[in-house]
Amino acid sequence: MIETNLQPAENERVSNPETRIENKEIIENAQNDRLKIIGNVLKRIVKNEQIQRAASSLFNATIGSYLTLSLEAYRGKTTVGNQKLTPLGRIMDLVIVGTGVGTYASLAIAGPNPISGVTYAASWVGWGVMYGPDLVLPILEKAIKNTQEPNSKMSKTLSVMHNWIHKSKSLWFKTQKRPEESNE
Amino acid sequence: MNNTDAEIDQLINELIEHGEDKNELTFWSELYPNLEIEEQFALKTNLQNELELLQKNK
Repeated sequence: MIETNLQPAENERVSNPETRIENKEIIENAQNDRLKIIGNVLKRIVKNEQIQRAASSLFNATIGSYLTLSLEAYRGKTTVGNQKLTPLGRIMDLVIVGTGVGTYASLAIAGPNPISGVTYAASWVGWGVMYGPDLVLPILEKAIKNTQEPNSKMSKTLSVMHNWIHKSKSLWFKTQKRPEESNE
Repeated sequence: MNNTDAEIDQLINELIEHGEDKNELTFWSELYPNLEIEEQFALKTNLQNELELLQKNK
């Protein structure tokens, strides 16, 4: 076996394990706080008249599958197994679920409401990014199209979210190392 | 890009150098100009605080 002289790359910030753990905690705390910020943005979005109209017109056509998926997610049956969401994936999950489900205050889904309280309930993990895009993208497209103020902040916000939901799902899930690749 | 956007982008670049998630922060960079004032303030404060903590922990 060839032994390599393992030196950290010049641009790596060399730190001891304790510092790395502390940094990880600092980053995770900040990411959790940013989920609350997106929650407040979503509260504003779901009140938007164009979103409500678009969701209403499209929702009725897909109500059966939407309700089924929602209830299954609440029961934890449609979670993505052991896959974890990336920080972006958590935001996208919340945006998708919030934009779709949060629009309907009258929707009888028994379970945690991702918008009120902004709690990232375990039963919703991965549901949004797995099933949501196909349901939510048309809502966003219709709302953007029907907005009377195309250059408004709301319209641009919806466009940014639409573009990111459209991106590859590989961005939303953390890649998992195979056991033989882990350093032990 | 106004000065405030440049400030946010600077914060984001530094945070990425400290190990933050590039995809997530790029999303925020695009969303920032369209947020309400209080949302922009909350995000900027969040990023500034995080960077300060990471820099102290070097």
